[in-house]
Amino acid sequence: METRQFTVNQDAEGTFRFKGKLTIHDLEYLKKFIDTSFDRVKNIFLSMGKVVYADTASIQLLIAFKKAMGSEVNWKITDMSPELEKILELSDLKKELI
Amino acid sequence: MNEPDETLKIFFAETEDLIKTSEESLLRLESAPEAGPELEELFRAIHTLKSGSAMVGFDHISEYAHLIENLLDRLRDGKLPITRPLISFLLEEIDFIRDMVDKCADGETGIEPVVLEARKARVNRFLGMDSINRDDADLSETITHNSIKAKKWHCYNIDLIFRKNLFESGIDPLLLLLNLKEMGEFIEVVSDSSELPRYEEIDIYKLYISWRVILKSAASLQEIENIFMFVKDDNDIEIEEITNRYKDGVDLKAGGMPIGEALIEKKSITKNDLEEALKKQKKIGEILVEEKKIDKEALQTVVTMQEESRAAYRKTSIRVDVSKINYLVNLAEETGVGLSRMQNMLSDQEAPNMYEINLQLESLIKVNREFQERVAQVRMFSLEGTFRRFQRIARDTALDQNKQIKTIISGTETELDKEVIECITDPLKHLVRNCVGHGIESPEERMAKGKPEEGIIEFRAYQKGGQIFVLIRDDGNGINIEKIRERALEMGIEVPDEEIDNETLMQIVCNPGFSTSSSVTKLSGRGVGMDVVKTEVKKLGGSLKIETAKDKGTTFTLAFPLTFALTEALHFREKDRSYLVPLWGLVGTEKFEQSNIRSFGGDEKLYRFRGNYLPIMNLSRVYWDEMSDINSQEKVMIFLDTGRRGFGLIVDEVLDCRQIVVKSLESNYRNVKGISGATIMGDGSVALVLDLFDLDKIFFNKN
Repeated sequence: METRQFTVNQDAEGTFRFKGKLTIHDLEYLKKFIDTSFDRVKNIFLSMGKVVYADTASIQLLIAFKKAMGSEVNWKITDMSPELEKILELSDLKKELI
Repeated sequence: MNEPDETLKIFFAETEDLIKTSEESLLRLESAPEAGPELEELFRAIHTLKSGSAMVGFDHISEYAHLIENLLDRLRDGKLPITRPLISFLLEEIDFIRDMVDKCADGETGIEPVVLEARKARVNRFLGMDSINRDDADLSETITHNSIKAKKWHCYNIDLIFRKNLFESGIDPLLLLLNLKEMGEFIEVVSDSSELPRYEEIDIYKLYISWRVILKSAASLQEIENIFMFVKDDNDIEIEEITNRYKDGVDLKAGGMPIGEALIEKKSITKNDLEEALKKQKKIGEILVEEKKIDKEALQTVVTMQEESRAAYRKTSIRVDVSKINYLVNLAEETGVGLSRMQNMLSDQEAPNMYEINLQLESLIKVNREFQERVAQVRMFSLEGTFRRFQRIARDTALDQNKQIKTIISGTETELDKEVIECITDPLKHLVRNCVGHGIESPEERMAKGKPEEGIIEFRAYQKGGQIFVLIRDDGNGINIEKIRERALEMGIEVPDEEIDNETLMQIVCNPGFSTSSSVTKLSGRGVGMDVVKTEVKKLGGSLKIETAKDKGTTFTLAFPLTFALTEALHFREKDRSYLVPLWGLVGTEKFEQSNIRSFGGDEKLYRFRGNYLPIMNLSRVYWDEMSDINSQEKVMIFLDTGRRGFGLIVDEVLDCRQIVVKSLESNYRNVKGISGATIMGDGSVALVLDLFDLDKIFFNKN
């Protein structure tokens, strides 16, 4: 059985804590998670401090979702791993995600 | 000629004009150093040159012109001051571009890469500087430094637009970006997610983002391309080396772009965004109408005026091969001959409507004459460009020799036959160099003589009678007659013992290889020049005159016939032959009066005309015919002046004045002394056109 490369939990403060690698292999799961967990919430706080890699497909999905939220939802990335930050800066996608 | 050849021909012709324009604008800019129409004209010329050379595949010229364009842009923005050294620098750059174009015209592959890189580095240095007042040592140091740097580092613009189903092939663009990053430093990376659909519509397995990267790397273009080896065929990957465009991390191209285009380039907006924004943008006229500063009608008047002006500008000139014009001139002349013959044939015919026929014929002949004139005028060009080029030569020569000069130009609107301009330009450059090099003294010498430090070089053109005069004058030393005498004697040239007058001087200096300069400089003293000038001028049916006075200066005067296409001539008959003399040499005609003749030893006869006695020339003597009977009361005198001397020609009958196309005798028969050509008359007969300079020589030099 294929295992997911990332996990996500919501802590007591409501922050979604991602861990591992966000890749195209787990994309459907990620989308399902977004669709179910982020629906009709006013605050979306994401902790990415333990995400060691994210591929283009995953980042692109998160960006599309963030754009769909618009200004009514309070979107915040609370922390970010150096690896992810490097990837986002390298691809000029950091500004789209934070 | 096939299409590419034709395109190249147009390119070379246009580029020649653009280079001339650039040079002229720079010289004008030097006298009025501020951003304005001259700078704009220069900018436009370089810009057009850049596009044109790119279009015909001369990328090295295009890239170079682009650098110059950037430099000019800095001048336009006031970021660089317009100074004399900068003008000199730019003039050199124009020369360099001219060299590159000439090399391409000669079919050479291009300029040495090392030379090109060094020149580029030099321009780049100016682009990175605020002023240019550093000396040459500093400049050469910078060139070396930049050359090394240029060899080590390259800048690439990399556009990455992938196909949407890229993920299916297991490739992630992020990994490609990471690989790229390992090759050097990202000066800039811009992502474009404008194609990303709404979240609800997204296909998560499709790629919607694209990138543009500016990479600074020591890697070669090939090495960079290798990173994209597996995606380049079915994706839109464009890698361009832009090393010359980037200076200290700044895109020089951005400065010359409208803000909208720059934003698209940076992927901050899409083309659609720009178009929408532009639609909303109000035109200046509309704003002024809204604010009631002007009314709609006034606005419309100015808009119409602008449109007409632009349309007129676009159709100002076209480029035509000279041979095509010459062909038209010949056709018009043949038509004229045909019409005249028809008129002759019909003259003894009787028909009820003969009056109308004649009227129509007269009208056709008149129209055709005008047509001939108009076509001939097409060959005429103003001397403005030629004089500006001379101005440049004078300026460069003066700078090179630490002399101070002021150039005065007048009569630039005077037009001269294109063929004449082309033939005389090169030999005249030598005269200009001579004037500055030998004529004008150093500022110290001038001061010592009580003259202003700044010498004057004057270029003047004017029309007088049927001739165009071109005058080049300096207010310098004057020609050192004694030095000329010494040198002439050394060279074995015959020199009269008495004082050398201007005419003798002219003969001496026009000897092949004559030069008084002991050393050969890049400007003068090569021992060629005056003889070449004289030969060229003579070939064109013109004359050359020198006037010189100690410490007053030297004046070279060249006289040319108006055009070669059409010549105004007086038609006359002598014995059973019909002749023509160019009208420019005609002073007057009158019935022969025996009482006006004075004998002057031997066979020489003088004729009194308007208070002066002029020598008489008899064509019979020239062509070894039986001598005309000058005692006949039926003879007519034609008085001529070559500019060198006046004389009278005794002939049987003066017929009329007409415009003729002179056909070469040499190409149809052989060269005949005293005859410059022939023309076909209305009745189909052939008339000989006299060469006044040759006649002068035959008669008077013989004596």
